[in-house]
Amino acid sequence: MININITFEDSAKGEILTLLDKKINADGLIVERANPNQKVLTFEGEEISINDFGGVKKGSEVFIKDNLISLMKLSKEGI
Amino acid sequence: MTWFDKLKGILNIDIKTPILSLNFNSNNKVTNKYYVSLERELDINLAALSPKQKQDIKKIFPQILANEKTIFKKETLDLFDSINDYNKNKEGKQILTFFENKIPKYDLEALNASLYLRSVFRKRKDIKKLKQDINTTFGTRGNNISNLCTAGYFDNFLMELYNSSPGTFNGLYEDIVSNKALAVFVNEHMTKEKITEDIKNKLDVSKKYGIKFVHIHGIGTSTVKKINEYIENKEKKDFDTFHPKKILKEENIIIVELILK
Repeated sequence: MININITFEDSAKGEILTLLDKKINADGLIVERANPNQKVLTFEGEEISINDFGGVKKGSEVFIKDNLISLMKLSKEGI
Repeated sequence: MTWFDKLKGILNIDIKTPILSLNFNSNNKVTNKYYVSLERELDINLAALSPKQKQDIKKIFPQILANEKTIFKKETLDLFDSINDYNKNKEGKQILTFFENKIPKYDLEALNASLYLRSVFRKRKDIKKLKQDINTTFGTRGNNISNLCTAGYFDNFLMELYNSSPGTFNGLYEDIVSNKALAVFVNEHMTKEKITEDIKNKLDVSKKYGIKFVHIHGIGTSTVKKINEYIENKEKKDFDTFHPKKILKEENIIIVELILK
């Protein structure tokens, strides 16, 4: 099967996080569902809020920010 | 069994033609669990699924991610694809390469993002979020770089300045990017008094380097109107020493050059 694009609407953010076993803490940051003290990180090693949630890359589920500068760095990595 | 076969089993759907994309939404107002568009996108409404179906999809999600490598928010993917196209065309590469090792690395990153923003602006597409992203990451300095880049100062002024006098460039660069010289970027919230103050401050700094002009920039119909009114109703004492000259005037964009007499 050829690679296909997998996307989600803004409305489905919360549900997608649930599918990934993640949730949002009181500060709006994305954390591990099983261990809420563990915040997920972007490929730049930063915490990420639900507002900035732009996607996930495979490979220990690295999170992607919906931000021009982050996406330019990601593009340079060549995923 | 592929993840797609498993997904079809979970949702009890029978699709013969291959799909090109899979999109998840969550719409409480619609009872349809899925539909397939003419563009062969399978759209799944997570809000309409049963708890068991959601649980079963959760079990195959790692396989989906492992196979397809990424999952993006739709708008984020659009932006990412646009950035990839921009990089393939190598737009702005010449300017970026020129300023490598001549300006701080942080500024170079801001300039890189700004060159992309400029390419979008030139296609008359919305740049509001892109500007916000540059401001969030690089602050006011990034904002200044973005304005200067869009207005063409990096390619049309700063490159030439460096080529003719690296010493003057090194002295002036910091003043320009920290918004102390060269150009006043008017926005709809600026008062007449603020515009005058900005012009005077910038001219004072520019004069130190023998630059005898200041540009006033405005984008947007209300800002263009504000600048036109400002120039036409200028108080004599404020502009005694200037020749104002409009070097670009369109419905949505204006650039005025004030040259010292």
